[in-house]
Amino acid sequence: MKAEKRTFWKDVLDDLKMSRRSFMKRASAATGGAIALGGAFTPSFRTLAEASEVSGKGVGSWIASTCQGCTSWCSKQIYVVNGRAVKVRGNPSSKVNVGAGCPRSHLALQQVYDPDRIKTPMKRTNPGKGRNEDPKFVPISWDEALDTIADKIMELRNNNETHKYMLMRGRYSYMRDILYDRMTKIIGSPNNISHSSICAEAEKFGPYYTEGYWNYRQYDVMNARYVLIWGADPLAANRQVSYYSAVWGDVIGRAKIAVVEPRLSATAAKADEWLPIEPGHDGALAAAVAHTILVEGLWYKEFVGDFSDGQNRFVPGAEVDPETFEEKHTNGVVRWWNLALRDKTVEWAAERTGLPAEQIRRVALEYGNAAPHAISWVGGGPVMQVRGGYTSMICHALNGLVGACDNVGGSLVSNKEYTTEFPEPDEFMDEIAKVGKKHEKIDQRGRKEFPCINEGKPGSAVITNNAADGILNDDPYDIKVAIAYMNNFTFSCGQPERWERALSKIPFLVHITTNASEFSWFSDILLPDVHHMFEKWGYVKSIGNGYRHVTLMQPAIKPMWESKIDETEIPWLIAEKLKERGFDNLLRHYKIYIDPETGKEPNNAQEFALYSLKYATQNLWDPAKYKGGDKFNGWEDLLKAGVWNSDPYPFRKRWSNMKTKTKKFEFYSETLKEALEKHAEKHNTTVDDILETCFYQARGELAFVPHYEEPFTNGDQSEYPFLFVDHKSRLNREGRSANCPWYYDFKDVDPGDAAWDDVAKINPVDAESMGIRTGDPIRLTSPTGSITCTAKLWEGVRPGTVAKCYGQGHWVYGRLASKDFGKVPRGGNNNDLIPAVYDRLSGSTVRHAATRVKIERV
Amino acid sequence: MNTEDLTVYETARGRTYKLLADCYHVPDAATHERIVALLEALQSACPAAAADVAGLKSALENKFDPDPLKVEYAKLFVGPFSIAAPPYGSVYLESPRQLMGDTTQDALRRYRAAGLEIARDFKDAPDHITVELEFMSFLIFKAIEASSNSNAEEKVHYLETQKSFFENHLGAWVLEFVDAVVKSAETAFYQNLAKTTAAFLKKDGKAISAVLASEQFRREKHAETDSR
Repeated sequence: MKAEKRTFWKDVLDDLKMSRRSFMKRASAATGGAIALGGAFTPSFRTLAEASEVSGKGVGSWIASTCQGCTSWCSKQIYVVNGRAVKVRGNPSSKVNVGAGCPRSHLALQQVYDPDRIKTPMKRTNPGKGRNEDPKFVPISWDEALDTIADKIMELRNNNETHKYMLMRGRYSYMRDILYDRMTKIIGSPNNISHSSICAEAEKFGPYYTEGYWNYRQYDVMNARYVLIWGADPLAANRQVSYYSAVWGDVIGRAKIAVVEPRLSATAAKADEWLPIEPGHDGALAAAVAHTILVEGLWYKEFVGDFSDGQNRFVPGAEVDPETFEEKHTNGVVRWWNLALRDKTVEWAAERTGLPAEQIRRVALEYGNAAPHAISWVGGGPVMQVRGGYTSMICHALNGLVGACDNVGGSLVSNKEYTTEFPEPDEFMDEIAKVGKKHEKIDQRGRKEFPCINEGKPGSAVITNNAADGILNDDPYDIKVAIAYMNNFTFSCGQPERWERALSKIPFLVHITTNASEFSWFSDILLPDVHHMFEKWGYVKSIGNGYRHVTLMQPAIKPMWESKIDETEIPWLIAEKLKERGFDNLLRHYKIYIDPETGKEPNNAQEFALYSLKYATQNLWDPAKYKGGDKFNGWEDLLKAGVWNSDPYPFRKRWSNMKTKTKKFEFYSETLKEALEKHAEKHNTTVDDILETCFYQARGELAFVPHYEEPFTNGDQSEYPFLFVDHKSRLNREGRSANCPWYYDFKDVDPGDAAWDDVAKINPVDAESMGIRTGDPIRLTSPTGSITCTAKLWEGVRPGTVAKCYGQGHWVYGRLASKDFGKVPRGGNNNDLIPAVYDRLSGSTVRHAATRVKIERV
Repeated sequence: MNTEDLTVYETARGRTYKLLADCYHVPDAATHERIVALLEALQSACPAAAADVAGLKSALENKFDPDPLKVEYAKLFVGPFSIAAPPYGSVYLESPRQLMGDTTQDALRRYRAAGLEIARDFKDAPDHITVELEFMSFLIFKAIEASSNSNAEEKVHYLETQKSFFENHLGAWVLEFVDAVVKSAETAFYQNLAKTTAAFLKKDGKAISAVLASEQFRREKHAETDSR
C-alpha cells in the first residue's frame, strides 16, 4: 500500500517537473514574465452559486394540483420535499374523485423526471424532412426560437395569407383559448384544429340528438340497480376512473353490471354479465333491448308516458298508431317503434351480435325491470365507428326509455360551474385577421361529405384526422406556418403515415411538448413544455359522483430545465416578439387579462400565466362574485384547496326542459332532422343523398330516429379473417406513459396483457388452428398497414377477433418507448392498421370495427 | 512532496475539473480556448490524459466552428429524442432510469453543506455532470485556500469531502457515462473528451486518497512533534 502511494507521488512529481518546465517556457514566451502558480486561479462557476438561504429541513408538504393522465381530470395532491415531487394522492377536497386515485397519476412522477424530456428550445438543422431524415436538432435559446416564430408569422401577415397559419391542439387545460382561439384569430386564421374528434366526439352525438347535451355524461352508480355498459371500461380507461374504482365494490353489491365488449375488459372481469359482442353490432343489441322493454311494458311511464287506455300495443312486428300514446317528457316513442324497433326481436339481434338470445333477453328484462335506476353507459367502443353516430343514439336512447335520463340512479349531465371566458378577441382583429379568418378550414368540415354537426350546426365539429389530407392536397390551400402542442397526430390518428407526409410538407412547424414524439420528428422548432401536474398554471373541469369540480394546476415544483407553459407563457412571449415587429394586437389583447385581486395588468409571461388563471376562476374564489358551490375567502384560499365543487346534482330539472327542438327527450329527433336538412340545403341536395355520400344506411324517416346500422369495416373477410379490436390501457389511455419504466413493469394490469411486451390477444381456438402459441412473434396486417408484436392466447377475446391495447409501437418518444431509437418500434402502433375513416356526422375518427386483419407468424 | 509542488498539483487538478465541466456545456466559440487551457492543466494533473486532449485540440484546429458539434452534443447529452449518454448521476446510480432521485437529493445536500446551491441561471438537474465536476473543482480550491491560510483542519475537511463526493457520486458513475459517450460519439472531439475525462478521473480517484493520506500523515507528524 505504502509502496503504491510512494509510486503515485513519484509519478506526480515527475509529471510536475516536466509540465512545469514546459509550462514556464510557454508562459514566458507568451507573456515575457513569470506566472504565479497556485492560488491565482479563481474559477467562476456556471452551475453553482453561494447558498442564499437556509435550506429546507426535509419536511414536505402536500400541494394541490390536477392529473391529466387520462380524461378523468382528477384533483390531486403532490407531496413535495425540498422542491422535489415524491408522491401523489387524490385530493380529499374533491367531491368528484373523493380522494381516490388510479395508477396513472403515479406514472406522472416518472414523466416529470424523465431524462428524455425536451430540455431546451431546439431547432432543426437538417432541412430535409421525412421518416428517414434525421432532423439533427441543436439547442437554441428561447430568444432565438421566439424570434424565428415571430418572423414566420409576420411573413404571413405581410403577405396577407394569415389563413395559412395553423394551430393544432392535443391535451389541453381550459387556459386553451389563449393559444388555441385568441392567438389564432388575432393572427387571422380559421385553422385552430383540436384533437377532439380522435377522442370520442361520437359519444356526444347520441346524447345531443336525444337530450340536447353535447358532452360526456356522469352516472349515478351508487343509486343504480342495473348498469349496462357499452364499450366503456370505467375501472380502467373511461372518465372518472378514480371515483368509479373507489366505489365499484359498493356498486357491484347494489346493481347488476353488464358489459358489452368483444374483449374481457377490466370492468367486464368484475361484471355480472359479459356480452362479447361481434364488433360493430351494438346497435342491434340496443334495438333488441328497446324492443323487449316496449313489448314487455317495462318502459318508465312517468318519463315516457303510456297508451291512453293503458293497453300495450307494442306487439312484435305490429305498427302502432301514435295517437294512441300519450307521451310525457319524450318525443316520438311510437314513431321510433314503427321505424326502427318493431321487428328487432331478441332472436334477430342474436343472429347479428353473435350473442345467445337467452342472454340478450335476460339482460333486456333485468335492465327494464330496474327502471328508472338503470344506466345505459355509452363509451367509445360502439360509437367511434363509421356509422357510430346512430349507435351512439340508440344506446343512449335506452336511458330515455327507462327514465334514467337526469334521474336518480341514472345518466346525468354536467352540474353548473361559474368560470369565466377570456376576453373576446374581436376588437383586436384587424382587417387582415378578419379576412384571413373567413377562409375555409383545413380539415374540410362542412363539405357535403363531412357534415360534422356539433350541437345542431353543420360544419361545426372538427375532423382532426382529415386535416392531414387537407394539408397534403393543398385543399383548400397550403399551410405554411403551424404550431402544435401536446399532440402526436403522427401516432394517434388512423393511418398515421399520411401525417408524416403532411407534416413534411409544412415549411415551418413548431412543436410544444414534453417528450419529443413522432410529430416532433417533422418539426422545425421544438419548445420544451411544462408537465401539467407539477409545473403548470391552469384549470380543468369535470363531472362525477353528482358533482362538478373545477380543479387547478399549479407549479408545485420549479419547472425542470427551460420548460415553459404551453397555453399562457409561450403565447405571451410570442406576442412580445410580434410587438417588436410592429404588430402589437396580440400583446394588447393579453394585457387586458388583469389580476382581479390587484387590478394590475400582466407585465411578463409568468404574471400572465397566473393572472389569466385568477381571471378565469374569479367567480369561484372572490366572495363578492359568489354564484354557488364551494365558497372561498379569496384566491389563496382556493389555491390551497386546489379544487372547487359545484352544488349537488339537481335531479329531473331537465325533464321537458332539454335543449332539443321539442324540449323533450327525442326518440324521434327533430333536432337531428333540422340539422341534417340544414346541411342538405346548404349543398342543394336531400338528406338521403347526404347519408349515402357519408356511408350511412338510413334513408327517409329512419335517419331521424336511433337505429341499428350494419358495421362498415375495411378489408375482405377471405383475405383478412379477423376483426381488429383496439382498446386502451389503465396505465395511459392516451400515449404519454410510453417512456415510463412503470408502464412496462406493470403492463399486465391490463387484463390479458404482459409486462414488458406488446401482445395481440387471440382466442386459443383461433390460435390453435393457425399453430400460434403464446410468445410467438406475429405480424398483423390490415389493408392499410402492418405491425409486429407478440401473440398471447387468451379466452378473453371473442373468437374471430384479435384484441390489442393501444399505446406501444413508438419509433421515437424516448429510450424506453422505442426498441431501437428512430428505427425499430417497441411493439406495434394499432393506428398503423386502422384506416383513416370517419363517422362523418360527428366528424369522429374511427378506431373500432374499423378493419379486418390477418395474422402471420414471423 | 513539498508544499509548493503540492499546490501546483492541486491547482492543476482544480482547473482540470473546472475546464472539463465547461466542455460538457453546449459548445460555443470559447470551446477552443478551453481545450487549450485544459491541455495546459493536464500537463500537471494527468499528462497521460493530455494525449487525448492533444487529439481534441487537433480535432478543433482549422477554423473552429461549434455548430456541427452541437448536433452531436444534443444527441449525446440533450436529446430531444433519446439521449445516448445521459449526463446525470441518478440515471446510473438508481433504478429505474429517472432524474431527481435520492442520489440527486444527496448531491444537493452535499452542495448545501458546502454553502452552495444551484445557480439560478443553471436550468438542469443538480447531478448533471457539469455541476458535479464544478463541485469537485470548488472543493479542491477550498482545500488550496485552507492550505494557504495554514488551516490544516479545514484542509483535511475539504479533502475528505472531495473523497466522499467522488466515491459516492461523480466517481461512481462517470466511467459508465464515458463508455456511453465513446460508444455513441461520432466526432473525434467527443470521443477524445470522453477518453480524457476517463483517464483523468481514474487517476484522480487515487490522487484524492493520496493527498488526503499525505495531509493526514503530515498532521500526525506535526502532532507528534508538538507532543514532544
